[in-house]
Amino acid sequence: MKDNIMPLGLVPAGKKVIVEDLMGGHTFRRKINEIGITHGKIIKVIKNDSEGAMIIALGEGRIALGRGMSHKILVKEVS
Amino acid sequence: MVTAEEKEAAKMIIALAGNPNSGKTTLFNSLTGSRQHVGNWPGVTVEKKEGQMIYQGETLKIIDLPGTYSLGAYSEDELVARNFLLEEKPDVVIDVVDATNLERNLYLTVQLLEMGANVVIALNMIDEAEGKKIKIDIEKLSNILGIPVIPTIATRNKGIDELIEKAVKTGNSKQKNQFKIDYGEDMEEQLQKLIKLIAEIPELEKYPQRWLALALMEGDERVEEILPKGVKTEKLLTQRNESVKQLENKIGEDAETIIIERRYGFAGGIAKETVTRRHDVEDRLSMSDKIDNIVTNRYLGIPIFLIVMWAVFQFTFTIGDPLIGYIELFFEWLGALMGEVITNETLNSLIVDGIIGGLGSVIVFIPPIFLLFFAISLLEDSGYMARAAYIMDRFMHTLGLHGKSFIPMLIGFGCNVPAIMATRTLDNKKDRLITILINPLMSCSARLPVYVLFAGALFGANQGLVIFSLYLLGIVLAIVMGVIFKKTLFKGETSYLIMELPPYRMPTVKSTLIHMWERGSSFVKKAGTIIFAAVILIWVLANLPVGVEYASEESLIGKLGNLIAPIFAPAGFGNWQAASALVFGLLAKEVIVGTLAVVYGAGEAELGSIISSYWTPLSAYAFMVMTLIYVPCVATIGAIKRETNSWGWTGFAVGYTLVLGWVMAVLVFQVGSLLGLG
Repeated sequence: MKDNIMPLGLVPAGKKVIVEDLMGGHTFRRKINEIGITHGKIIKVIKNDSEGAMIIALGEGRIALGRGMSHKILVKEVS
Repeated sequence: MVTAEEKEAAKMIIALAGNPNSGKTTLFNSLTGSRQHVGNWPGVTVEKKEGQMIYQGETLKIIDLPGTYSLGAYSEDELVARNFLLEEKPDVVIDVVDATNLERNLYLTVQLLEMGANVVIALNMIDEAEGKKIKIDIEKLSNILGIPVIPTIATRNKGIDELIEKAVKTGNSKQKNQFKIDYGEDMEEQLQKLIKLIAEIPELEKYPQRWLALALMEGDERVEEILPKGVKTEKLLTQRNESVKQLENKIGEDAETIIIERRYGFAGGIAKETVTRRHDVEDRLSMSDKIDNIVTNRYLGIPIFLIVMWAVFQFTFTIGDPLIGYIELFFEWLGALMGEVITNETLNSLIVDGIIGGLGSVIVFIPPIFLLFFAISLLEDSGYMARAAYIMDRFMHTLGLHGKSFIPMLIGFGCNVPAIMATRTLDNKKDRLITILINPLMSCSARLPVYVLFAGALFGANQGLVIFSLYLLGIVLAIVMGVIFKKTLFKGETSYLIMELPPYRMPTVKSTLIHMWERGSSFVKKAGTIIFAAVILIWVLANLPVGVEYASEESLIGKLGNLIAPIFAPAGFGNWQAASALVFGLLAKEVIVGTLAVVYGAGEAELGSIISSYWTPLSAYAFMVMTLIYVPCVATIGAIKRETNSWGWTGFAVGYTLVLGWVMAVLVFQVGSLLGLG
């Protein structure tokens, strides 16, 4: 799994990942960028119930992210 | 926005900018205290808050800009903040930065500096940062950015004096900030080309050139709108298109992404250099996370949420009801007293039935509304409201909306006016419109007196169940209409939830009270005057034409009722009394009770027994269903018009609820009659 790129929505709680790529349209990318999720950013998944919104940690901030959005963020696991 | 006169009066204009949840509003409140004024920014529905403070004998004008993460042009909030900075050029901008989340907050700081603003940073919530073992090198931060940085704790008034001192000093200095981010050789080359062309357009002199060039490269359409028409602009835009293309060919990324990532990179770099933290702390779950594990748990989340909501309504009504009782007693006493003092019959009736009755019906409303807003402010300030939105997201998704839409729906149980105002937190226009359209179906507290009257008179022991069923019917209809609107009017739009979850905080009494007061008083001002006017209008119509018996069938009220009564015959209440009550219910739903009292010629105390002799349980239920659904009250219609900025959608909201209400009422009566319930 280690080197595999996967959508953020599939990452279980407790894991840390690095943002590899953002898919989707212009508005989506801008929105996600502005809240602080950019290429190369480290994200920790706090909560992921595999349906509904998930919670991620971005530094000290906690962000709730809808399922649709989380599938458009491609990440890679970091140890 | 700021008139010359005001500029004269205030020595200095200070704007507050900052991310949502950075404590900006708290700082604004502690700077201005009660000297503040809430209005709207012209042309948009964003709230404009301004206030004053006296510093060393001089008046400072403080403008609270909307909380934003950036100064792009993608939401009304951002646009308002940006236009104010560009067009009004405040003397100084206090940028409220959340010390626990420096990197993301600095993104906005960077944008402020790029716009050429004179910035002072209020490094807020420094106590929380310390609690989280985050250490910030303030001097270094100040040196890198070249601006003053003052640590503050807005909730405890710490650092405020120094902040204002530095802000005034910065505002007085004539120096311009020399801030600049290096966007890399390729980008800089293109930026220089654009800056050269911008310099040739005299109309653009008042805007910072580098900022304009960056905005153009980002594809900012709003900036293109401020460009004057002409050959030079066309040349500029052609060069821009050329530059974007060149850059994309060279780097393989679009210009907008490069700029945003560069800015973030810069902000991140500063954060890295100035923040030290203990690493073992980072990986540990914070207190907030631990609370979240319980509160947002997939099984416990919804039960906890329901308990919280139950507590909110319990709080509102157990404390509110006795207060309402006292207020009613007071107005009865006042009415009786005035009745004895004034002997002229018409004048007596005007004052007792009209004015005192009218005032009473407005003031009675105040306790539950303020208590509800108090509870809601408490939930918001503590951080729970964002969790409620998160918990409800899955459910709201089935409606095609997301969790944030849930909060306005909830407030709708109190009053639809502030609820519709609360849709401002939704950044997707279509989500917002659907939420506004279905909001009147949430049974507001003004409809409760009607249910209480009819259910109390005709359903005896089952009245609680009957009232509950009406609330439920409203929710179910809201869901159904939401799905229908989503599938027909707003096809193909997916909406996403992206929302910050602020850490849990102990709400302060002061800020909770201020929030309650802001919302409550704006409700009283907006709705109160309308309700009061309505009662006077009813009184006049009930007394015209001159000489007619008060509120009889021959009065204007009776004639109006008679005219439209046949429409309601299939719903089981085709009498003039019910019809005229519904007409006046348009002004405010609880006016229905007052109108019925007038047309049946009864005091509110005897009204119940009169109702039970004229109505059947079935016709009463149909009438309550109609009351629940038909046409939002005037104040709500006004709010819909203001927030949608469209008479078309306002008309649609009025029209669909009227039709839906009539259809449902007829359905209830006809099906009920068939089943032999009549």
